[in-house]
Amino acid sequence: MSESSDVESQVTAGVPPLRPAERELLAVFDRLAPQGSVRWAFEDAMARLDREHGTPPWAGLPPDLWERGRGAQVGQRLVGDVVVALADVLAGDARRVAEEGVDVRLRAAWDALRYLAARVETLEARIDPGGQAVPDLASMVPHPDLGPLLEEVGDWLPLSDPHGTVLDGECGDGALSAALARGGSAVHGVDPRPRTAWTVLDARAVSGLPTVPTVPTTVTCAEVVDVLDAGAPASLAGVVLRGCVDRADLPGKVRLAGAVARTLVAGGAVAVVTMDRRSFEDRCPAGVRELLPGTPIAPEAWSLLLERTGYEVLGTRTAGSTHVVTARRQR
Amino acid sequence: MSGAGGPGVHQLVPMLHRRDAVGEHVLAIQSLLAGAGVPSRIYVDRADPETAALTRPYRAYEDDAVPGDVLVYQFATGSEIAGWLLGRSEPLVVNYHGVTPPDHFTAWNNSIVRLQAACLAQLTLLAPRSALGIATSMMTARELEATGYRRTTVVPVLAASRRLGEPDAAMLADLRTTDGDGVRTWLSVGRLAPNKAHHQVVAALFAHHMGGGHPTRFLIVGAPTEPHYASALQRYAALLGLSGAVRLLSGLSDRELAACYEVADVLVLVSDHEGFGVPLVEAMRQRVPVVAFDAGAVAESLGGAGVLVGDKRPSSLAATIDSVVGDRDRTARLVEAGTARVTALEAQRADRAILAALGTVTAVTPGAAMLPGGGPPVAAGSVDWDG
Repeated sequence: MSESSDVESQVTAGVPPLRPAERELLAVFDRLAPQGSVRWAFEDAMARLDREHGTPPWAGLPPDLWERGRGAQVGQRLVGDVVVALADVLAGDARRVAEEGVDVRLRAAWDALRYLAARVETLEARIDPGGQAVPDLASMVPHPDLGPLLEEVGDWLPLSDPHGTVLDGECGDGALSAALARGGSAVHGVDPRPRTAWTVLDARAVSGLPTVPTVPTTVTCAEVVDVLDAGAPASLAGVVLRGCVDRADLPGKVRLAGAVARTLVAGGAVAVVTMDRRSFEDRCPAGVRELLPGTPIAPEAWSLLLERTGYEVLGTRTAGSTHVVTARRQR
Repeated sequence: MSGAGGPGVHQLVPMLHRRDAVGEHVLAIQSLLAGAGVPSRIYVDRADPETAALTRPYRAYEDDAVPGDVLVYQFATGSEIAGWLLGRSEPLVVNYHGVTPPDHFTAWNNSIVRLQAACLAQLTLLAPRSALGIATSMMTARELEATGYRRTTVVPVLAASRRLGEPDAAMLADLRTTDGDGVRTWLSVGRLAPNKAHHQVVAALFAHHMGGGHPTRFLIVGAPTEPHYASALQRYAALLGLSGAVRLLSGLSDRELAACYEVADVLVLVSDHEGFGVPLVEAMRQRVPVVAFDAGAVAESLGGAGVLVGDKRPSSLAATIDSVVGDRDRTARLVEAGTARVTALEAQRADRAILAALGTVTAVTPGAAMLPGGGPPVAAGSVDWDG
C-alpha cells in the first residue's frame, strides 16, 4: 500500500508459550478479578432485579461500603447495610408482586438473599487485615535467614510422606525449595514479592541478576494465606512459613495456623521460621515497621499458639537470629 | 433541503459521552447535518449529565416525529432503544461501531456480559429493519454482513479526524515535572476495561524493568468504565512495585490529551478487540510511533504505519517497544509513515462519505430531508477505505 508497508509488521505466525515467570506475572493480575467474590455476586444478583421490570436501576451500594467492610469488626455492619438495601428492594417488590402477580423479581431477590446467607462466612473471612496490607510491603521487610539450618531441613521438618507436596511459603530465592526437592518432595513455592517470584522462575532468562538455584517447583506469586485458603483440604505433607508469620498481626498469625491445619494431611508437619524480634526491628526501616500489621513473636509464643490450635509441638531450633518452631498436625 | 421544522435525520445512542469515540462521532454527524441545513436531534436511553442539554429521552421522539424522518442508531452497546426501534416505521440506518465480545467481561462484570450478549442479539434483530448499515471498518462491515445486513458501507468514525489542538501548557509542565531526566514514556489511550488489556502493558513494563531496561513510565489515559478492572489495574501496578511508574489519567480535555502525546515516546495499544482504534490515528497525527496488537480493525486502521505485533507476552512486548523507542531512525520512519497514513485517511473525507451514505437513504425516502451527495444506494464497502 504505502511506503510504510515494509516498515513494520511483526505479526508472528505462531506465538511461543509464556515462560513460567510471565505466566505467573499475568496470573497475579487475573487473581485480582472480582468474579466469585461476595461483592461481584451480590452486585450481579442486584443487577438482575433491574430495568426489565420497570423499576429504577439499582444504583449500587454506597461507594465506600466495601472499603469500610474490609476493616476489622465491620462484618456485621456490612451485612446489615446489604440487608437494608435488599429490604428496600423487597418492600417495593412486595407491592409490585401483589399488584401484578409476577414473581420474577421476588425470586431474584430471594436468590440474592440466599446467596448472601451462604457467603456470610466467606465474607467474614475476607474481612481480614491482610487484605489491607500496603501493596508490595513484603519486599521491604527482612526475611529470616536459615543459615546452617537450610541443609538440615530433613531433620527439622519430619515428613511422614517424603514424596508428598510441601508448600514453601515464602520461598524467596528458592534455596529451601531446592533443598526440599533434593530430599524427594514436590515443592510448591509461594512468595508475594513479584520481583522475587520472577527471579526464581526466570533466573536463566534474565541477565545481570544473581544466580539462583534451579528449583523444580511451581511458584505462585501471592500471599501465603490466600494460597492456603484456596488449597484442597488435607493435601499437603508439610508447610514452611517464613516472612508472612513475622508481618501478620496476632489474628493473622492464628489464621495462618488454622489455614495450615486445614491443608495438612493427618500427621503432616509445619515449620514456623521466625526472626528474633529485636533483630527484625533493627533490620526493618522505621517507616516500614510502622506500616506493618504485626511483628515477630517469641518462639515460645508460637509453640503455645500451635499447641492451642491442635498441633503437637516437636521443638525449636535456633541459628543466629532465626528460630524454627516445628509441629505436627495431630492424627 | 428541509427547514428546521421539516423532516430530519435524527440519531439515537444509548448514552452520549464527551471524549468518547462514539460520542464525538455522534456530535460530529449532528454538526455536519446542521451545516447541510438538515434538522438533527440526538436521543438517548440514559442521559449523561455532561451532555444532558444536548439530548432528549428517546421516548420523546414519539411526539417529535415528522413524516419523512430518517433515524440513525449508533450501535456499540445494548439498549432498550433497539427494541423500541423495531416498532417504528421510519427508515433506519445502523451505524455500527463493533461490539466487544461478552467473554472479555466474564471475570469482571456479569451484567456487562449479559448486556453484550443481548447486544449481539439486538444487532441481528435490527438487520431486516435497516435500510443501511454503516460500519466503521471492513472488519465491522463483515460482522454486519454476517448478521444479515444486506446493504453496508464503510465510513471511519468521524472522531478520528478530530484535531486535539495545542498541548495544554499546565498539563505539559506537570508531565515534564514528574518525568525525570531521560525517563521514557509509554502511552496507552483507551477506556479502563478488560478488552483494552492495559494490564498486559503493565506486565511488559515490569518485564522491562526486571530486564534492566531504560527507566520508563507508563501513562494510561482512559475513563474507568469498568470500575473493578480500573481498581485491579491500580492494585496490580502497586503489587508489582510500579506505583510510581504507572499513572492513570481520565477526564482529560483534548488539549490535555495532546500534552500526553507530546511527552510520549510511543503509543502502545494492545486491545483484544477494536472496532476502529481512534487513538491509533490520534497518535499518528501527533507524530508518535505506534506499537499495536493485531486484533479487530487495528491492522486496517494502522494501514502498515506502525509496528503490528501478534505476540504480547510481557518480555516480547517490552522488547518490541524498546526496539522502537530506543532506535531514533526507526522512530523517525514510523512517524513519517504515520503522517502519510493520516494524510491518506483525511483524503477519504469521512465527513462527505457519511453524508453521502445517509443521502442514499434520504433520497429513497419520500418526503425525507435531502442531503448533499444523496444518490443511488451504496454498495458494501463503497468508501475507498484502503486508500
